[in-house]
Amino acid sequence: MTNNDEEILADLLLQWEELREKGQKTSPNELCKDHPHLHDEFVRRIKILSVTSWLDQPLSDEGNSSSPANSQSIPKTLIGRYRLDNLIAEGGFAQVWRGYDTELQRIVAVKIPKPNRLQSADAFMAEARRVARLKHPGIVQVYDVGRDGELCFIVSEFIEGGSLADHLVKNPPAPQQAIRWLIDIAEALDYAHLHGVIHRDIKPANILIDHHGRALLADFGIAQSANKAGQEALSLGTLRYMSPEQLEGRDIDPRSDIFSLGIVLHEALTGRLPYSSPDPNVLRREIVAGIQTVVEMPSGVGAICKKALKRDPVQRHTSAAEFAAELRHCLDRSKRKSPPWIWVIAGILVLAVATAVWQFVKTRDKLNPSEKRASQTLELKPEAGILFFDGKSRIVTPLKSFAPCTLEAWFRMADNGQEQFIIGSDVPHNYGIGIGVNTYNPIAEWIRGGFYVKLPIAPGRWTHLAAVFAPDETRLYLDGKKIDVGAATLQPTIETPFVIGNVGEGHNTLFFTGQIRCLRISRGTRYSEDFEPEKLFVADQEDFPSRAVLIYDGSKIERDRVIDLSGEGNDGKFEFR
Amino acid sequence: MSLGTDTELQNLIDVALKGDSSAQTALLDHACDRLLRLTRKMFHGYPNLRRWEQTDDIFQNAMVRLHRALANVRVESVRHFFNLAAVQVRRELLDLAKHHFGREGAGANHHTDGIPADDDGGSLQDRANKPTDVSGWNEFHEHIEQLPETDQEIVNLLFYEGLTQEEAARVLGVSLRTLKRRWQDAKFRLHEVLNRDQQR
Repeated sequence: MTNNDEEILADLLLQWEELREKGQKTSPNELCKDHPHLHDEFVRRIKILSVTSWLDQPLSDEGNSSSPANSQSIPKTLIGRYRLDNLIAEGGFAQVWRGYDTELQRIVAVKIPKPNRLQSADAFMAEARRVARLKHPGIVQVYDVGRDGELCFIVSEFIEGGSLADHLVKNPPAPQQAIRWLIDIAEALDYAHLHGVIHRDIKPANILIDHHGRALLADFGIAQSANKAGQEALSLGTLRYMSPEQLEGRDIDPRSDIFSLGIVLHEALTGRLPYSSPDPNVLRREIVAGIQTVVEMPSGVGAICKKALKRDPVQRHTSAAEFAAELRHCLDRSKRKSPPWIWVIAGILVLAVATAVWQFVKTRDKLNPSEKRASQTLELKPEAGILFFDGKSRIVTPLKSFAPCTLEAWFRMADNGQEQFIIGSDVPHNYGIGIGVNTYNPIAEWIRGGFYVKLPIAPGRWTHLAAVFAPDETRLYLDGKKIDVGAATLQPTIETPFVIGNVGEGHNTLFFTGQIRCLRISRGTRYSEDFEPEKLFVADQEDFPSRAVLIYDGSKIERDRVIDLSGEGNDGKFEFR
Repeated sequence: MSLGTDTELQNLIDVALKGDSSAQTALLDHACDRLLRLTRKMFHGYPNLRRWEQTDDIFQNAMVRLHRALANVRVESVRHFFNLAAVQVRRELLDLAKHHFGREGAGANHHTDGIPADDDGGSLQDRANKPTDVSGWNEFHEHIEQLPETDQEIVNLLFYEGLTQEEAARVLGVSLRTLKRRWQDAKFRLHEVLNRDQQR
């Protein structure tokens, strides 16, 4: 066959294929009518093209309804309810849209997995429904799951703000803030683990920080299927945060997530991964071999990180709750001791501590001589008509902690130099709703965190401290002056009573030493502007909008009972260690 | 793959070449996504293989091989990258098949239930039909490796990477017509090598 014949034959074959693609058939005789000598070869070749036509089917077109979801093929509104407004993220597994729920009229996030990435739509839906049952303030809430034609979708809470990954790049958090976020995430994770859900892809990009500074865990179990018999994991997670067992494809349990948390903790505190190489292949080898270089960190935190990153899951924390508790212990200890590592890790904290100490010294210097003496050698004694706390006693109220509310107390504290807990939720090693003093500085906790103001309170001085725990913010007042505003107060997720003077039965790390003249718990937001604190609290009128539901002072104590003066019958009970 | 994707990939590679580890990770994510599709294709309809080796284990192995390739070979273009990825996964699949079936087993049951040819012709005995078992796939992959490099590249782009003919033409920098012709030529040669052993 001449070269010219080859060219003609190639043209004929291209013609034949084009007609075939259009669904038009034509006979070889017709096509070869001008070149009859090529007919037989032409027929032989089109037979080959027919036999090999399966090669023209893209890989992704095989099996499970595999055309990838793309913005062209996705309808503008899913099931007539969820309007898709903006594509905000797209990964290998799914697209995420900023959407609008037209029925409930709220902004939502809509995640649409690419059909070709779903091994089983049914398994995915079952997994999504399981995740939707998780309800925790630290987990991005899944509102709905559904299908629109071949598309599966998940509707969830839309979080304004950025991810921890964004923060680490643009605005790295102070070590204590990073630790608080990790505590929150670990607690959310523990909740999920207790409900049988493993995240499998813990990483900074999946930790969202909202405008109130809350940390929430996203993509919970959505991109992954459970590692059950008969199912295949749809995603292995992200290599840099994978546990060795996950990378090796072994069975995983919650401790795999704890390993990933350890990586995130390391990165958040040091800005680096605990692996020496950015090369993925070396990285993989290091993960599998358990080769890590944990950068110098605060002594306690470093130990927690190393424990979480143990190659053998048995040697890690047994639960995310344990991981959180150890971190919280470090945080509490750092607040009390201001140990050297803080100075090493963050100059900012050094400055803050130094400023606080300077302000306190300055404040103390301004005290009159008798107050100064009292603050330096203060040993407050029980007095008639005044509630007295020696660090070993507390009052447990029958009131379950709630929000919105207003907590306030008149007190004078002894100079124990430690964190002083006055009124709050009975949640050891955790944040609740509460007020107290953090190394002389007034502090309030709003469920997901706390904030203190560097306005040192002199020991021995009668002080009025109040906090309004509102749905939109938390306001802290010192002697009737609003001194700072914190994040919105969330509803407590743990049912626990308000207690006074000490957190946790037998707990000896967070307590109050000194005198409380009177204290009050009110429903709602009692104060919005500055006010003149009442010297004693009395019951409110019934129609008062923010009525007191608990008032104690030392005037009415019967045996171990403190009588509620609000008229609500919320008598408290003294407990002694 | 959309027309824009390989441009995006090219950008990623460019950034990765400058030593940006985050781009390298993104590149890896992309590659893993492709590999996952490929492994699923290979094991689609092979429950017996799943019993021995989970698809994700295979995926993981292929990924590790790809890691090695990315670590040691300078990736210069999208074209180069696609070839690299396809070759790595093909070799992984070949190793896997050999590991489980042995060399002598390869091809033993090939095409015992081959799909019927269409109206235009074809033969049940033709070894260029679509493989229906792992040994058949093994044979197919082996024969791809025997093709001239130019043919392998076309097969990699259109079959292994799932590019459209328009995208492949763009990646190779040729006209669509040239691409179509080279694809036909590659299929003819593949048909020849697949049936050559039978003719002996």
